[in-house]
Amino acid sequence: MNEKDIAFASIRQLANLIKQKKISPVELTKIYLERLKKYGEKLGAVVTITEELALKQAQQAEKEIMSGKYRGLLHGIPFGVKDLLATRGIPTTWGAEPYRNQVFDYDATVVKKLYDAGAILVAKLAMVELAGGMGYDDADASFTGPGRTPWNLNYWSGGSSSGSGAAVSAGLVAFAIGSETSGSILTPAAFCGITGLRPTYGLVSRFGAMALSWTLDKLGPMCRSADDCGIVLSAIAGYDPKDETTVKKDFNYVKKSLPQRKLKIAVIKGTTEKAQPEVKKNFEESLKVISEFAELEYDVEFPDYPWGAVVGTIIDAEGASAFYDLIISGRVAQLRNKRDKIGGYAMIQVSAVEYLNAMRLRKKMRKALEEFLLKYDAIVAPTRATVAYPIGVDFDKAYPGVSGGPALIPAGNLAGVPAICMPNGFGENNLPTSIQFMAKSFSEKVLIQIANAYQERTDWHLRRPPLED
Amino acid sequence: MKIKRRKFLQVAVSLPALGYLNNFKFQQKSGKEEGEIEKLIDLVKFKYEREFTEEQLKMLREEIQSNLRRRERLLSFQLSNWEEPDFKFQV
Repeated sequence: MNEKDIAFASIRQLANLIKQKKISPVELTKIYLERLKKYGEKLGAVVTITEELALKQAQQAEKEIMSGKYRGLLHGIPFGVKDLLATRGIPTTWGAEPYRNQVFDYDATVVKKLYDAGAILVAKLAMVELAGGMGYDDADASFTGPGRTPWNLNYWSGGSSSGSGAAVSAGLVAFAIGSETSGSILTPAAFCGITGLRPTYGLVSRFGAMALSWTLDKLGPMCRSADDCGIVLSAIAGYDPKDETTVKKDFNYVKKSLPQRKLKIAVIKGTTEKAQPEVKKNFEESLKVISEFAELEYDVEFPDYPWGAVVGTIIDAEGASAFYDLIISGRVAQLRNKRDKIGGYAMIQVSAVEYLNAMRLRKKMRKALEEFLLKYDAIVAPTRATVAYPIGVDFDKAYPGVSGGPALIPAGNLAGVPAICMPNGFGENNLPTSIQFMAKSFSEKVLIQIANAYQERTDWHLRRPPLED
Repeated sequence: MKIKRRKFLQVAVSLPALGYLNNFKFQQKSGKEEGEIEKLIDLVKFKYEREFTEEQLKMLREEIQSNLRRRERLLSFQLSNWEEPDFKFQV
């Protein structure tokens, strides 16, 4: 394996190399540090390279492994986190100019859990300022500039976990952590051609993470395969007394083949009619593959509710509250994106009654979605109706007339249910397309099994972006 | 349901008038919405002592308008008195 092969290897492959002492954690860390320096800025993917800490952690990992103390599959594996997770003594900027010099004296629970698993932090990764809460309308929405998909540098990486998506896709880290309030893991995963997992609300602690919307925010793995997502989720999931919303459930992942019975998967009606032609074509090809191991029920109607309107009201109200000081002080004007500078003034006008009504509707809608999902092992749809948006063009002008039908991403986030997405081909301008599976709460194992089965039969997740050396 | 001839004629005659009334109502509603938007922008300027460029005012107008339309959409969904919000208060 050459250095490039190593950079793009899966966590399981890297763990084997480390266990067999074919590569040391220090050597591996140096490979990723070099790639971060070489491509990080070009992709707008990196805020801080944590070289000193990384080398120290790598040496410690090496010492432990050499002395026979092997902690598990993540021991000695370099990773990056979205720069909204607190890391002791290292700036945590939330992607936003007003917080550029913010430093915490503690680690987020997710970061601590990964350290405990022996993983090595190599970078704090770029993100859309304030996780997109102020309503950004084009890719230029971070003090580090627009995130770029490694597949075509003129196109956006997606957001708000933009750096996490681009860095994993370009082999700058072995895996990354992203966050999702409504689409911020799935969208960059789709636009960068990687596998992203949005866990059930409450499965992963958010202690130490920037809050945008307390009732919607979730943290999850962004990796190059579903198997990697399972490994990372095992390390970060679990109850945390510092986050009252976490549930007393662990997640222990063991790679398993599919159950004997054929899984029942619903194909949601209306998701491809107005999608880009390649998105439609690739989705139909994917369904052929999925039908090899699952029983597909076609043209299933998704519950019809105002998913987007309710999610929007909740994010506006909770986000305006979370960033109240920033808005009323006028420092919001320091944000990068033109619409982010004023969005807060509209958000702050959502009344308490509107918020409460949205939360009352949410209860009905969550129950309706839960009942719907109980009928299937999973539902399937394209992750996004388009490939990545061009940089320099407002989102609403990028692909006029294209839409994805039922609002699966807002719905899944509103109900707090898990989803996984992965690449399933290429569309316009050699940009990746993606497919998503969503299922009932705490069904991450089934989702990963399905995704594993798909990735065992296809090689889209193994393709590498055409970055020049 | 079968419509009787007399009823049909009544409806047919009133259709242009209904169109006019609908249009009038729409204009009224749209004028009311515009008024509300401008008042809310004034409120922002007054309350937060902010001045905006023309481009920013245009965007703020769009944002507020979209919020008002979203509010309308949400209000069209009926909720019963006892339906609680989706969070729990615990002691």
